[in-house]
Amino acid sequence: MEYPWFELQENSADITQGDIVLNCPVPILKEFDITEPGQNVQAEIATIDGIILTQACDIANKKVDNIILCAITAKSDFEQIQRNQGRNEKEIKKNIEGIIKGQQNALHIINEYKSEEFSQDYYIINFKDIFSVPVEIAREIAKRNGKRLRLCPPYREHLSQAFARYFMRVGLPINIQISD
Amino acid sequence: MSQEQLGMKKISSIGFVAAFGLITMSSSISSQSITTMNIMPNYYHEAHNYSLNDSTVCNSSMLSRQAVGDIVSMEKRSDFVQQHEKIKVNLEITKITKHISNFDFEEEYEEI
Repeated sequence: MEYPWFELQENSADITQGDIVLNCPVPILKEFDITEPGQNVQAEIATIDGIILTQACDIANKKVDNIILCAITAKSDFEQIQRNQGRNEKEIKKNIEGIIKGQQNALHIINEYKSEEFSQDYYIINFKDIFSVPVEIAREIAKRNGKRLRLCPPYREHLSQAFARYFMRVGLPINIQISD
Repeated sequence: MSQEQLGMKKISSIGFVAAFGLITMSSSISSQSITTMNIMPNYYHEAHNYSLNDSTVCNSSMLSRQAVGDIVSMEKRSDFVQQHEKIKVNLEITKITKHISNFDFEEEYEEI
């Protein structure tokens, strides 16, 4: 029985949990004293590559106005970032292996995709980097992406579980110390 | 076991009386009997108490559809919608950049 990682979507505004959405514009406000309608407010636009984490049923049943997107980074870009931080190739490889094994709570990795018509690198998902985007904006951007990938079960649920695990951590004020 | 009797409410619309009681186990209980007692209406829909010749006591009860303490789903009744205050403003876009994530690696990790 085959369990493909991804399903290819094309020119579709239909979105669900596990959908990869590229170049989504998100406003970052630079001033916060906002009181008057029509006021001019300075902002920057960050275009993010993200993966949808909002539950599929919530999107389908229109229970949400905004979609949660978690920032994703291509493995090749991630490796370059690591090199810029002064890490050598052996350390970079060890870090990626640690992410695959689930040893980094805030990070998750998904497989690459290769076919004749479309290809995509491995992506590293950063649970510390979360954005909220209106549903209609997400749909429009997804459609404009043209060919894009949708993470399939059970890899989608595996991602969702890792996300939940990151947020449900509890730090104890006094941990257990076993004396010899 | 302490003996306890609770108030009972007759549910006339349904047409039967709910009854329940706790009876101290005693050798003086010798005849078959049905005990009718008052009961908290929020907890029991129907209850019967039988005491048999051999002093065993059989209790049966059926919980009502809803009792105090139940967590009732409000989903079907109404959708709670959080209303946020909104102000329409004009955004002055000063910069457009490609977002790059920061990666902080945790040296101590949790084995899964």
